[in-house]
Amino acid sequence: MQTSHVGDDGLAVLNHARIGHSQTAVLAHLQSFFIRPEDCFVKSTMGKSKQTGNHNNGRKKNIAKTWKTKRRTKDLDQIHSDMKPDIAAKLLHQEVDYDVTGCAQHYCLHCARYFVDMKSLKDHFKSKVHKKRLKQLREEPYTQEEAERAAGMGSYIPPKTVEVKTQSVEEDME
Amino acid sequence: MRIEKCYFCSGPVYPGHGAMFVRNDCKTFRFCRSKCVKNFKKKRNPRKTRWTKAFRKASGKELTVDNSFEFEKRRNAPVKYNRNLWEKTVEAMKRVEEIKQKRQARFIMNRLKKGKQLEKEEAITEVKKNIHLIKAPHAGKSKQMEAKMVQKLQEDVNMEGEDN
Repeated sequence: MQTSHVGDDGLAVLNHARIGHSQTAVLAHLQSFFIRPEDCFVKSTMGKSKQTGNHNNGRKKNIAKTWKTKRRTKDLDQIHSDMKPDIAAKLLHQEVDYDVTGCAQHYCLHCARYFVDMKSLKDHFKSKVHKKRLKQLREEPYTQEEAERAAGMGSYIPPKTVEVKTQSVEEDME
Repeated sequence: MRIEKCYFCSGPVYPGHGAMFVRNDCKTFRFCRSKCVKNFKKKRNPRKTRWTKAFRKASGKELTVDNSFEFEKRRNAPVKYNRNLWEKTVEAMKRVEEIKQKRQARFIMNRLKKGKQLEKEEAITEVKKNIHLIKAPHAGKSKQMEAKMVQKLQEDVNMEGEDN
């Protein structure tokens, strides 16, 4: 006589089973009704869950990777293309964006960094990091073509030097 | 199918090997091995990294300007197959490679000659500077002095003889 009735807890079922069933039936019942810890998907309620799903659910899987991609800084050749006058003007006069440091109003073109205010931007211009970056930018950026020339596809062409100066900030001082 | 060149070290990238990085402005970078990828991620400059071809060319370690470099090119227009042409091309490739190897080897040998010459010059100046360690400054001076004294005495004697 198989019972289809399920008790509130395992103990109730056990008691129920002992009355009318053999020992093996009891075991089968236990396995089907008890929830084993390795089957448990529910994480502890302390803190935010790191679980991002078990199946192909479209949610991002690798959080570290996405952050790494998001925080990737600009390469030197990208900054070189930024230094073209029209793009530079656009970058130096950006619209107010509350998501960006200093509302995107204080941008260092050569280091591709936003600053909180004019003072910190000016302090940055005097810093070693900025001067080092200017020095790096003085040489024409490395390209795939140069790599190919170095590999024996064409003769070597020495890189040109470009004059790079810190952006002027006086016009913003008004 | 094409054997690409590594962005970082300029080595060949065979199909199915290495890695490709596509930047968010759609520019692609091909790498021959994880070493090059890691160095690229560290934003190293291939011109300043000593083991790359770009460094060796930029700092004059290898033959840089030569006509033998003008044969290998990125050709985007396909050529219709022609057995005769194909055979000739393969022969030419072998010959060009041979000449290129020879010229590169000669360039390096000539470059090393300069160092040997400098080494020799340096050795000579060092010996000249530290000659006192080999030969004492007053060695053999007393003998010279003696010879001079004898000569002078003789002259004096002669002078006296003339006066009388």
